[in-house]
Amino acid sequence: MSNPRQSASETAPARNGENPNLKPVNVKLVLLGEAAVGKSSLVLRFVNNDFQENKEPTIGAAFLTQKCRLEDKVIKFEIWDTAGQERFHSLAPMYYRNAQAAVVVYDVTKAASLDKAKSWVKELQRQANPNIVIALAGNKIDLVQPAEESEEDPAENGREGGRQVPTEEAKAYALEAGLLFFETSAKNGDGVRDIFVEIAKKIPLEHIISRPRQTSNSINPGMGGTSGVNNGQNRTNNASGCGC
Amino acid sequence: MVCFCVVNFDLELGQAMDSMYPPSELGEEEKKSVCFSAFPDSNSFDVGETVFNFRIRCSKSGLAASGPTADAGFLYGYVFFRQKKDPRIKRGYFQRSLVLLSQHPYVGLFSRVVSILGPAYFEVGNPMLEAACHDIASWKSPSPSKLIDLPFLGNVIQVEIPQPNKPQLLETCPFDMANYRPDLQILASLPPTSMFTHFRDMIKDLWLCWELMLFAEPIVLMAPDPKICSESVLELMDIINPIPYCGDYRPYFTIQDLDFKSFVTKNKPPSNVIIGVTNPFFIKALAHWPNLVRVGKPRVRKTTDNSWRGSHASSLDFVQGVKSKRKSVIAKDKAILKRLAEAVARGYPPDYLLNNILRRYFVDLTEKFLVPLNRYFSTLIPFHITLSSSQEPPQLKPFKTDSFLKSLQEHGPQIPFKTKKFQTNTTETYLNFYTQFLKCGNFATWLRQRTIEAQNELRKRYLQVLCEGDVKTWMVGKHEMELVDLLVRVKDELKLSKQDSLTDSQSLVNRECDHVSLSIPTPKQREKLKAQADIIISGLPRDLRESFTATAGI
Repeated sequence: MSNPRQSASETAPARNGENPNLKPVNVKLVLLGEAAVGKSSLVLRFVNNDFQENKEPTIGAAFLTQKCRLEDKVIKFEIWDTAGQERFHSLAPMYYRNAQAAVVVYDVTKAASLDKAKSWVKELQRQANPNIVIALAGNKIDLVQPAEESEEDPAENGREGGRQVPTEEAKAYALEAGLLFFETSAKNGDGVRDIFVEIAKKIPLEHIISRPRQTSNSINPGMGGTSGVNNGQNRTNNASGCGC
Repeated sequence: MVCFCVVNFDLELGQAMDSMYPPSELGEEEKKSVCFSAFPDSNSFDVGETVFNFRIRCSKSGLAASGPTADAGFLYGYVFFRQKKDPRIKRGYFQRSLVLLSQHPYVGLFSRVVSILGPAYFEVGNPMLEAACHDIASWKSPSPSKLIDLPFLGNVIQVEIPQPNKPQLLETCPFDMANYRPDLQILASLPPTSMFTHFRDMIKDLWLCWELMLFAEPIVLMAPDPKICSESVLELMDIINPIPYCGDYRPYFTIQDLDFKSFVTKNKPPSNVIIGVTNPFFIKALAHWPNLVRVGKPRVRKTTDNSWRGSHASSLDFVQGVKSKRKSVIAKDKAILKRLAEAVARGYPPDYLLNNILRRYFVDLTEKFLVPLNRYFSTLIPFHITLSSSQEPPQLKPFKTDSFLKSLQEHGPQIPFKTKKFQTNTTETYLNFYTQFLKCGNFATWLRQRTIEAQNELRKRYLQVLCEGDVKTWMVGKHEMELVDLLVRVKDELKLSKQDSLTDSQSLVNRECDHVSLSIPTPKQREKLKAQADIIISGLPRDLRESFTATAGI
């Protein structure tokens, strides 16, 4: 029988043939936001680098995973992409419970969606895991990009009356509420990867690795310590090794 | 999974099905069975929640699996029951159950599913069921002995699906024991509360239970509530693993069950059956059954006043233990009893580890019991297979009781029989023990399964010989009829593999689960068989060669 007190480095199999130090750290991440702001599309872009027009609404929540390499660690995001429709609102606590990260999404062309995002942030800060890392993402910037910078069909740009949430306003709110902030386009991919990379950097991984409590002496030495988390110097705009 | 059912207990209507999601074509009788099995049937339960399971006959609606397996014709129900005070309801109580119906006996997995979903559903309502079904629909179909991640309502449940007739133990599971989380890392065949926990005050009786289960004797298991009852029945079935239990089993059997009349008669009890009951009525009605196992202490009713002693009176009439006409002959293992008692006194390791020790012990005991049977069985398997060994794929020799008993006497048994002062002839004891086993249904299922395994193995070896055998050397000096015979056998295999390549991957998966069917040449073996056929053809006389190359379209 395996001794439960044995250290993780001795018993953990090197899954997928990887170096045991690179055994992925699971991070539960939840996406929240009003219906049709593009939560599923952001995930689809991040996980499959793909985009679909007119995606069907999510029921309950969809579950996807994506690994992301960050310096000496591999993070496996377990992504719960929740349904935005109001009838599923009360299910949300099931999904954000024990989540280490949340991405709250709004639509830059719809002012009301930022209000909804703010109420999600409030709910998370009140009821979710106290260490949760929250990112605010203003999606659909492809709809408001000036025509000369956009590679998309210029006819798209004028649609829906353009931007309703100024970048500065949302940014100021994010700063005040202690959130990471991004503007993204799931359609052309702008800013999508950055959300997940920055979240990965900000999450206190040591805390996650040392769970469960009774094996606090079993931290794999290769996983803790010098992770460069929060030092802010590794922020590159490229993929920074992200395995997607 | 078939569907979720919501069952309500109403003062006027009694048990009634509120809804099914997704809508499902259960027959009226089956609906009734589900309803009655979904509630505690005695007053044991006061306020609170419980999770248990049942198994009901469900042959009419066609929802149950069909085929020769033990699961055929039955559905498994996994229940989350909640009872709480609610002044808005006439009876003063909210009494509802959420039932998951499935064709699969994965008690560990589905009990977890209903215990996550149940409370959430009663809070939130139908969108929760919708979300749950959506999650379950995204699950892959179960494949044995693989670790699968199942996303469910914000949790990722890791499950190991059992291989048929292989016990699931922590030693063999793929979980990282350093970070093991029993709530989310689940061995699908094991009930959520361990055998060690349920039987902790009567561990000594498990040796007798093992004998009763080994011979598939009729057993009534009486417990104070449906959870202990249903889980204990499954745990007793598991105790003789890897021998497949041949009989019928009802983890939670109520007086309203469709089969009530066939079980509860004045007649001699059916053999090969274990039923779990909570209603004391059965004690009298089935008093003529030879074996009664009582498990579990009645739950002390939760009251605000802790000094209330009324419950103790009733716990006194419920004495745990086994009443049996059988005299046990297997010696208990004092070392393991001591080890467990010490662990309990010390307060660690946790129950799930002690349970594993206990279950591991009985797996070993069963395997030791099987040693003489396996030893004899291996003599029935043809040893040598050569290119010319037979016309047909080789067959097993029949199992003969006399020769087995002779072999048993020669080598002796591996399990410890009790030695008594006045009992001089222990040989007689163990010969009787095995003779009795050969007569019971478990032996038949064991032999069948073992035969299938051996035939599969033989077939693999046969194919290997056909593929790898040195045909050139073998052909020297052989008559052309022998060559043609071998060629036909090789071509038969090629035909088989061609048929197979036409079927889709889904049916391949089905074939793996269905262990009756035999292995089919792999694409690699197919290439080798083709090469072998060419060699043989080249060694044939010209006229024959032409007739074969003309039909070589395979």
